[in-house]
Amino acid sequence: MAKRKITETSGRDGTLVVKKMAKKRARVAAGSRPSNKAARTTGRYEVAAVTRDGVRILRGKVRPKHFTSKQIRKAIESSLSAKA
Amino acid sequence: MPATNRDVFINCPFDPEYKNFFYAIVFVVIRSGFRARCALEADDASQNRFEKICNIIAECGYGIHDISRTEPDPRHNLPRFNMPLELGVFLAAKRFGIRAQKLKRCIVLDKQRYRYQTFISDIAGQDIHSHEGKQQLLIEELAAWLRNQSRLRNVPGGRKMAREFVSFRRTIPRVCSQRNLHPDELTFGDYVEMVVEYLAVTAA
Repeated sequence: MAKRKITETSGRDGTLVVKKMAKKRARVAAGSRPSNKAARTTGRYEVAAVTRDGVRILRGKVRPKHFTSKQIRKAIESSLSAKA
Repeated sequence: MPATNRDVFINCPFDPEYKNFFYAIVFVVIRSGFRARCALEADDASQNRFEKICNIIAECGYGIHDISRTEPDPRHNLPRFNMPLELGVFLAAKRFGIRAQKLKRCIVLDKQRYRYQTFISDIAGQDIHSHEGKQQLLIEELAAWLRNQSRLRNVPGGRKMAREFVSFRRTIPRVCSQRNLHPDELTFGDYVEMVVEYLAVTAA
C-alpha cells in the first residue's frame, strides 16, 4: 500500500498538521522527552527552597496580596539581621 | 494520590482566638514539605463558598481536621458545625470518590481524645489525636503525622519545629510594620508566603 503523503493541508483545518509537526520538531531539537503524567503532577509545585535538612519548601497556591515575595524576603532578612 | 499530591486541606476555625493554632498548623505543613490549602484561599464571590471548599478538598491528598471548637457558643448555645461538616465531605470523598480520592488520608484533632464520642460518635473507630488545647502538643502531633505520611526521614521533629515557629512568629510584626500593616490584616496568601520566605532565608 502506498504511503499516504502528509502535506501541510492534509489536516482537517489545514493548519493542524503543520502545528503538530512543528511541535514535534522543536521537541526533538531540544532533546526533551514528551511530558508524561508523573511529570505533570510534580510540575504543579514550585519549590521555593530546600532547607539544610533537605526538605523541599513548596510555594503556596495563592499569591500574597499586600506584599511581593521580594518585599517579604527583604523584610525578613533585615529583621533577622537587626535581631542578630 | 498521596505519593505525588502534597496538598493538605486545613479544616479549622479562623477566628482570632484560634489564629495562633492556625498559624502553627500552616507552618508545620510547609516545614514538612507539603502545601497548605484552606477555605481562606478562595476569594471569588461568584462561586458558592461550599463549592469552593469542595473543590479544594477534591484537590487535596491530605486533610487536617481540628474539631476542638465544636462546643456551644455562649450567645446562641449552639456549636459550630462547619468543621464536622467539612470532615464529613472529606470522608465522603474518600469513601465514594474515584480511585485517586480513595487514597486521601487525614488526621482528626480534638481537645480530649474521646470527647468526640459525645457529639460525633459515628466516627468512633477513627484514631483521634488530642492536643489538649496546647500549641506545643498540636505541633508535635502534626509533625509526627506528616513525617509518617511523607516518609521523609529528614523532616525535623515536632519540638524543633515548635522552636522554629516561635522564632518565626516574632518576625511577623516587624515584617508587617515595614508595609504599615497590622498583623491581623494579613491574608492567607501573605502568611503562607511569609512562612515560605522565612524558611528560604533561614535555610540558606
